[in-house]
Amino acid sequence: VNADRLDAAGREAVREAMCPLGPLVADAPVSVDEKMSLRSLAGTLSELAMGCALVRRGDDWVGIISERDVLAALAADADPDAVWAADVMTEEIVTADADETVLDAARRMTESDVRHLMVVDDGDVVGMVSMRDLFGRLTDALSAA
Amino acid sequence: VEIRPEDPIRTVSHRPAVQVHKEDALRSVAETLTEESIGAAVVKGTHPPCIVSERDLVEALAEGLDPERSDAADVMTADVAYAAPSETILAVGLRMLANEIRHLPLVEDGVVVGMVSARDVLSVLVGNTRA
Repeated sequence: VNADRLDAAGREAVREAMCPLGPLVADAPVSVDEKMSLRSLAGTLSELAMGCALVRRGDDWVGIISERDVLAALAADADPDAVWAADVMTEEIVTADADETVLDAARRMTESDVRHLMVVDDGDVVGMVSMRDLFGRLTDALSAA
Repeated sequence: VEIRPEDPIRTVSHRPAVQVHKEDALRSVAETLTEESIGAAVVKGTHPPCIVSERDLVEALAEGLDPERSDAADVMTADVAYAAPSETILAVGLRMLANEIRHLPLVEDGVVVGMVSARDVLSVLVGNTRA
């Protein structure tokens, strides 16, 4: 979204695309126990139409697991009923601050090659934003411009 | 040169599209997608094109399918939205959103010539893509 190229008609839309991330976060994050099997995880993701979930050990977030991680495990010969979330999750969770702009968050997403960011507000996890959420906001802004 | 949303989608597509066979087992499809670092493949010999995506495989697992015994033909998606290589990146992005999909084949003269992902489009929208 290059603001220099836009005329007055697009300004409002672009301002919206620059708005803080916080309001895009609708729900608390989906979380699964680290001992959930890949097949149960697939069920949870499908049911909720989500691409990823945070992985929980007791009260702690210990990682994030995505559809892509499930596929990579399958490709590596994992038995979906005998491999657990903890075995295939990614430990490093890419985060975003609720105050940062949609544009900055989308940039970090493409640079980090992830499709979900964990949104943190004042140290508390408030939810996730997906590529689709950010993509929708940016595309709306551009097509209105 | 920075690629812009009004540029043709062919500037950011993966060409040729990654292909799998109808009889490939789900585990083999997972291998192909993982190796190629792509979220969806076109199923060879399907007209109009069918695709198999990460989401299709996850749903298959959720339904209890055996990754060795079920194959691409069992889980592929028909009637997928597609685009011409000359359409703009923005137009293709809007089509993805409208159809709630993350991958879309590029079709020219009835033949699949490439595949484009939401990530490819998003990179352009945030100004991260250069030709």
